[in-house]
Amino acid sequence: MNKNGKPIIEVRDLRQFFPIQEGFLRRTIGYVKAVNGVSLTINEGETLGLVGESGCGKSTLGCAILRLYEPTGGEVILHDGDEKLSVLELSHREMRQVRANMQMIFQDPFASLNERMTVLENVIEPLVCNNIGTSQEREAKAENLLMQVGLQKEHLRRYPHSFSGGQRQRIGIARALSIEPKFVVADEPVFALDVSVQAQILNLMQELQAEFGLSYLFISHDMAVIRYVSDRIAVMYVGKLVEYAERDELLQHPTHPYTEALHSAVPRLAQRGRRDRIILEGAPPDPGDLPPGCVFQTRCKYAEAKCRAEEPELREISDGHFVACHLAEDLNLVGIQS
Amino acid sequence: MSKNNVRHNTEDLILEIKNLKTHFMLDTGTIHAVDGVNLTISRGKTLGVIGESGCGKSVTAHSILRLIPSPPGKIVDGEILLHRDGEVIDITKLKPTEEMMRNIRGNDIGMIFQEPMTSFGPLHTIGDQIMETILIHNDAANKNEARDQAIDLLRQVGIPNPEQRIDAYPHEFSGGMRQRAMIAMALCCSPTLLIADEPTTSLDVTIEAQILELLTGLQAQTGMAIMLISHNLAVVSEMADDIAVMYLGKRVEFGSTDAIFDNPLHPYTQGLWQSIPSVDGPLEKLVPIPGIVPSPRDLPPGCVFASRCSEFMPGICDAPKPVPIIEAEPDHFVACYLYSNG
Repeated sequence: MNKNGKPIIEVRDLRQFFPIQEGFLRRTIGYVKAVNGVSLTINEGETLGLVGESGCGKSTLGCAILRLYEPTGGEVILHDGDEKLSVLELSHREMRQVRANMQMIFQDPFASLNERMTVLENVIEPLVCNNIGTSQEREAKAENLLMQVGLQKEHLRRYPHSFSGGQRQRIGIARALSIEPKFVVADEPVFALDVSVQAQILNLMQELQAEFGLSYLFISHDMAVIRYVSDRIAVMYVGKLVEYAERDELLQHPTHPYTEALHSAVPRLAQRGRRDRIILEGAPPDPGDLPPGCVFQTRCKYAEAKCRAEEPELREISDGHFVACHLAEDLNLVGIQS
Repeated sequence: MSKNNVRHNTEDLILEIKNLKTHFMLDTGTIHAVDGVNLTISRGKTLGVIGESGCGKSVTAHSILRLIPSPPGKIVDGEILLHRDGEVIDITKLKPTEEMMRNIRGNDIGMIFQEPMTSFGPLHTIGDQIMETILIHNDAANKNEARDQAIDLLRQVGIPNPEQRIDAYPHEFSGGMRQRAMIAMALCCSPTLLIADEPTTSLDVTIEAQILELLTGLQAQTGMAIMLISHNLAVVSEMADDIAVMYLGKRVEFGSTDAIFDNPLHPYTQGLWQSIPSVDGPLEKLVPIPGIVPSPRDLPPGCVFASRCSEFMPGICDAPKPVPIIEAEPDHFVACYLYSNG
């Protein structure tokens, strides 16, 4: 994998709020802060794993980076060669061209393909939308890609309904890659798949990454999958990044109590019959009604007065290791030993 | 680990499944959802059943409780023997609706389902639904006693403020809370066996940890046996004493958790181990099992795994006869020709 440390996507203080409306006049009485000030960088050829529980805003963050929503605030910068494009300030016409560099692989392979188009047409469609090549060239390209993701020639004229989940996900991947993007958001791409098929898709995504020099933002709730695919891992909790670092650093030396609890909760294969889990009480707070101070303080066993009063900033505590916790230096947290 | 001793004392047996076959007769053909499965569950132990979607693990569970919709489903062969106070009842011989079967459901065997969102009726409070179960299974109880009992159960499964929460409707509970309430309902007649069908699949990991901890605690307290059905190998590895691996309606391997993990024998089990990522242990490249699970409508002849197997032996594995089940080491069974001598 090519990792020269050159950024491809920079996200600065990105916010995505959704209004809560009430009553006949639909007056706005508050906001669900789905993504609440997230900053991160994704380098060329690297995979950033984004892990968190349902409702923490990880999919919303993925969509907001691609501007599938109109973010409430913040900046997304796409590096195209030496050019820097501020994605959120572009017009719709300019956005079209930029989107060719940024694509998405969706979670549900049963909902993301057009059922009325053949497999081949599904993959050609993005090329047509972006005005790339002549119709012969488009077809040849789509055919090549579909072979590369492991479909057979006789599959190309069939409709998506005749394929299994794993094969549909392969088609979804071919479609996302057809216009040669540099950056791909993969939103739980193996969530709906059986374990034996999951490995096929994960390996395919890695092979394609090496071949096309892709950068992935890989979103998953499954820490084992995230560990397998990621160079760096970011942990999200109720709209905030709480920690992010190199993969092994984050797994072995977590510095945020939520990361520690998450590690502890994940069932393990190598350590059987383990009975030392940290059990987090209760559930995450409502993103429409956040507690004061740190977002995690309501469930954190280390929380002090400061945590309930003041919101911690995401700060770099060692080289490339960022954490949003007041107590990070004082805690001696337990990671996963491999 | 001494808890993984599989040698079953016949006195401790709760449930024995022998050569169970549950088929679905559809217009388009017969689906052999469960096709010759053998399982044993002992008092106080946890049996893990693992396999991918469509392998028949849920149909096995539903067969035990006689919840298979009929038609089209039917138990066509085999025995499900329930050991109760010295007597042995063959569940397959009972009618799904008869008194004895209704008694077994709930009193002897409780079940928690995968979907905590849809397992409760939306129109009644959680309390009413738990109380209904108590009143049906315990003739002596009156409404007030049932309510007290339901509050106790909710407290036992860790629902805060059970006195108030008992009057809540299912939609007012979060997924984890609903799963707790589901467990409370399954426990209300102190079953000797709890069947948990993917109990944590739709839950977040931190909530999953809460539920697994709760089940372990309740098992230690009540001594009930648990049949844990899951596709998540890590969950099963942490919870189970014995493991049965299923593939396309067959039980391909059965043994203690240690045996299944440290010395997997069936090529499918070995393939599963190499194809799942783990959060701990060395980080190795995953080796996927090639191909996909064949359709249960037209099963290949001979071994059902033959078409994806790396050890496939032409003329042996695809011979149209049942694959022998071999005890490769004490209490470790595998259905594979690789281990048959001759």
